[in-house]
Amino acid sequence: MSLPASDGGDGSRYVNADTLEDALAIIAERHDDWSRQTGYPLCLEIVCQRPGGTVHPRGRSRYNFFVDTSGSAADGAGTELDPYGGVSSAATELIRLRRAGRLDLRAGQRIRLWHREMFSATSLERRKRIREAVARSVFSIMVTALVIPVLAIIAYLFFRAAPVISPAFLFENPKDGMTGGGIWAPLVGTFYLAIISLCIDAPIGILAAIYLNEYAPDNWFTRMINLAVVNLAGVPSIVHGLFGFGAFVLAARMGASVLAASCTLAVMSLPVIITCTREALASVPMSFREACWNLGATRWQTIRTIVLPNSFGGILTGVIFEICRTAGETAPILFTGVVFYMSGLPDHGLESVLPYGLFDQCLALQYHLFISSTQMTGVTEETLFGMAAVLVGLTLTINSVSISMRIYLRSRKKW
Amino acid sequence: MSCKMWIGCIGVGMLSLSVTGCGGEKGDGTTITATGSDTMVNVAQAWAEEYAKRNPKIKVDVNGGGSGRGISSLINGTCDMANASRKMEDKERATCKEKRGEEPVEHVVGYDALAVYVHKDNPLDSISIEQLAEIYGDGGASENWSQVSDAAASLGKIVRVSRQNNSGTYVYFREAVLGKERDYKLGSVDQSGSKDVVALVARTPAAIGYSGMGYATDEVKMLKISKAKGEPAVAPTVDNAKSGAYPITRPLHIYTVGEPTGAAKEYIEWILSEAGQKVVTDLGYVPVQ
Amino acid sequence: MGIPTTSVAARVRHVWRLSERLREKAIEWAIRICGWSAIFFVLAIFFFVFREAAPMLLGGLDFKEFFTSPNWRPTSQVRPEYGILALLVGSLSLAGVAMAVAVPFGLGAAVFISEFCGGKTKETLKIVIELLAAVPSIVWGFVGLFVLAPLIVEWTGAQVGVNLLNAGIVVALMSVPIIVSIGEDALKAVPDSYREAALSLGASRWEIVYRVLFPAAKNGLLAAVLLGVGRAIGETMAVLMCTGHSINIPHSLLDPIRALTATIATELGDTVEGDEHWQALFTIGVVLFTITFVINLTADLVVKGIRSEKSA
Repeated sequence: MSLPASDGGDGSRYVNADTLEDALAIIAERHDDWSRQTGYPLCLEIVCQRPGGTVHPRGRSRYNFFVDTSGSAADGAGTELDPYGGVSSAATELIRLRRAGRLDLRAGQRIRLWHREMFSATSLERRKRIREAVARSVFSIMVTALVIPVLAIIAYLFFRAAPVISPAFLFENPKDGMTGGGIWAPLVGTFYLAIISLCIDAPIGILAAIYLNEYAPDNWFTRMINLAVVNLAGVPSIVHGLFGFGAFVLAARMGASVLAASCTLAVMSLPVIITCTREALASVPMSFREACWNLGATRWQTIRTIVLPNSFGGILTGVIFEICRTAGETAPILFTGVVFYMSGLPDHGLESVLPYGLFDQCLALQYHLFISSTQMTGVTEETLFGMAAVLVGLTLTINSVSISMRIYLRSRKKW
Repeated sequence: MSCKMWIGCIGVGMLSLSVTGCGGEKGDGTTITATGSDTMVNVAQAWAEEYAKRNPKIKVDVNGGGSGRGISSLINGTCDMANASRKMEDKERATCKEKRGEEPVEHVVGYDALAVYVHKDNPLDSISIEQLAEIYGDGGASENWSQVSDAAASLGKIVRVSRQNNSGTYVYFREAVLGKERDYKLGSVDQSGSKDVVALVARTPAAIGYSGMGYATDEVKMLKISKAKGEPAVAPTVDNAKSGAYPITRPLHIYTVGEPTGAAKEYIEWILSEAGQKVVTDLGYVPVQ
Repeated sequence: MGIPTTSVAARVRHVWRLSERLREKAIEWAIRICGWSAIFFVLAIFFFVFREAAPMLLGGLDFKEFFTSPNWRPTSQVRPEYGILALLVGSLSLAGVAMAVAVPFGLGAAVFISEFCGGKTKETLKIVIELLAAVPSIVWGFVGLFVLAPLIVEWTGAQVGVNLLNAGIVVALMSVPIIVSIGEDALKAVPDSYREAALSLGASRWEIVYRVLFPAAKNGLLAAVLLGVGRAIGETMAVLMCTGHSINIPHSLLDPIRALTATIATELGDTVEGDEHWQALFTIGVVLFTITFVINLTADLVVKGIRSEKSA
């Protein structure tokens, strides 16, 4: 039964046998020689060849058995966790199985005898690794599916807007039935609302954050305040609009005006300022305050000279973020101060920068986009995309400034 | 140092605030606020723009939102004149008298033919008021295009495009097509602007919608309207609207509280003058004779 | 140190120094009052919205009809009807669809950012998500109307492109940032010792996420989802532009709907101050306020729940 072994070229050998038992016998007899020749334990395959056909090099195996060749293991059942003790004992066992009729190959199928390494991954471990890879790729696909379309949409906005965006588009007032000209007056209106609301809520918000972080005792009342801040942030913007209309326009007799709209926006974005400022204040280490108190400074002196200067950047970040938030909101100003069109807006000079008084109504870019896309005829789609792109560009720029400032400050932090 | 900077920032903010405050206060003329009908907002805006060229001292603020909004703002005192594409109701007149102390005065400044729009590929050419009522009216039977016309049967379910429920267009269409005693069928796609209606119809093959004739574009078709099935259908054109042959023509109003005086008076007079009426014609509406 | 009498300036300086305590007291009171302002504003919002709605809420509103009738015909000449069922169902179904999209993606992204990547990737992704939150709602509405609507018509054969699906996707994109950031915070709040213990037991990352982090951070994640729901229900402009604004109890994803918020936005301008329709709209405002209040309260309690459990 000493058949010549043909060389496969890649270090593999092929031996033909007539029956399965023969094959197993050859393996049992010659395995030790082979392994001495190559120097390492082998993976053995028994393939049932189709008559006249070839063997597919990577067919699936029907049976898998494992052999421990280190010689230390006792004879097992041939599974991965409990391998056979050696190749010859494995072959004997397989012949026994074959005779018992429990080993049966059809054309193309194969039996594999694996060499089990001492520290190889068990099937449990392999399954675990596959699951891990699947989980990782699913999660990364989720992130991609989230980020890519959004970036694509924003890119598309800018792409469609590109033909209309020009200095004239930015710096001219709307004209010709709002189909021509640019978006200067609405843009200025948006800045007005953002800046004035900032002037109103920055002091309140910063002081409130100082209270919550530095003064507030840990009791139910403070918890109520925190809850109120969260709720204020969660109230729908249109309800803020209703509130602004009821409180500022009607009850405070401001009328629909820049001031009323700014107040409404200020109340709406107060939580943003409070939250950001609190974070900034909380990042100042307690030891700074303690050191200052030990020098005999009062609470307010400590805050003024130590806490505020050290958290200045963080607070500014929050303030910028607030501008971004108010620059995009439409619902709260619908009833409180924006107007569809104003005639006689100054076109140039200082007056075009300051076209609105506190008690005038104003145009605002966000509302301008809304009415142009739903109510005005003759506005080309490009112009609409242009407005949307400017609005997105504005908020994204402001936000990026805030983010890069935060990163810069964090990198400079000395403690 | 930083702290001072911080205080400085707030200071600069406050300063700019006060500067802007003054900036506006020094306005050297009167401001007229005109609020109301979306149908008229185009024309009102064009008037304002045109008028500013002639009389830069008078500023006109224009607001859309619907006739209801105009009338309510007039009653609430937040505007000087209300643009309305429907008549003020008795109830509203009474509220106005009660709140403002004077009767509202009506000025007819033009006419508008309310066109019924369908998608440009819709084979339908004309429709009767009764058919419209069946489509739009509460309890009306027409849900599919096959119930309206065999030619359009392939379009399937009718997508009814309507307006928000207090716009002048909505109210007038109800009056002219459904009759005073009937409500709209719910489930229509309600748009908040006249242009919205036309834009949605242009994008939706199975849609039908109504809006001012001035809002027509190339992508939609205006149906001819007949008063009853079998009667000749009339196209929405300026001439037909003028002659009264087109059945859904409505006057466009400006309301003021009491007879207008001063700047408002001049403005309305200018609107009714040839120059003002030219704007009306230019925008596809029908001028007052 | 006697009182210097040499110059007026010195005197002023002296008085200024003497008033130090007084000034400090004044500033502390200002801080205290500003600190309480949040409560004041929440109460004020409720008060002003409730005040306008009060005549209707307290006097003869048929609550059963209000909440169970799908007929919203406030301007009917025959009989005005104020039934918000269709609007309520519209808002809730919108929130449902939006959350069906946003929760898996949002929490998935949160897990990925917090557990599966580090360093530069993590920072970049966080920044991108933060920038997402900055896109104004009106722009999302515009995108829904002009970009998404034609695509939906093309892909699904829907009759109208502005519908539940469109608005659901848009609102999902808007509420994803909040879900991601709060979800990530919740995962970050799980002590590292939990992760280390699991690692030393031979757990893989996914097993840590699934077996350790999810149970440990479940309250925080729930809060993230709740706040997302709150955002979805409260969103106005984008919803107004993308839902189709049709009074309709939706039967499929492709039906146009109408939301509570959008109804207020389009109709309030049209109504006369103080009449029934006006009151009805403010009543919707009260309903919205209550819904979001309850959601935020629950989210807060849920988060507080874990915190006290941990400290105990």
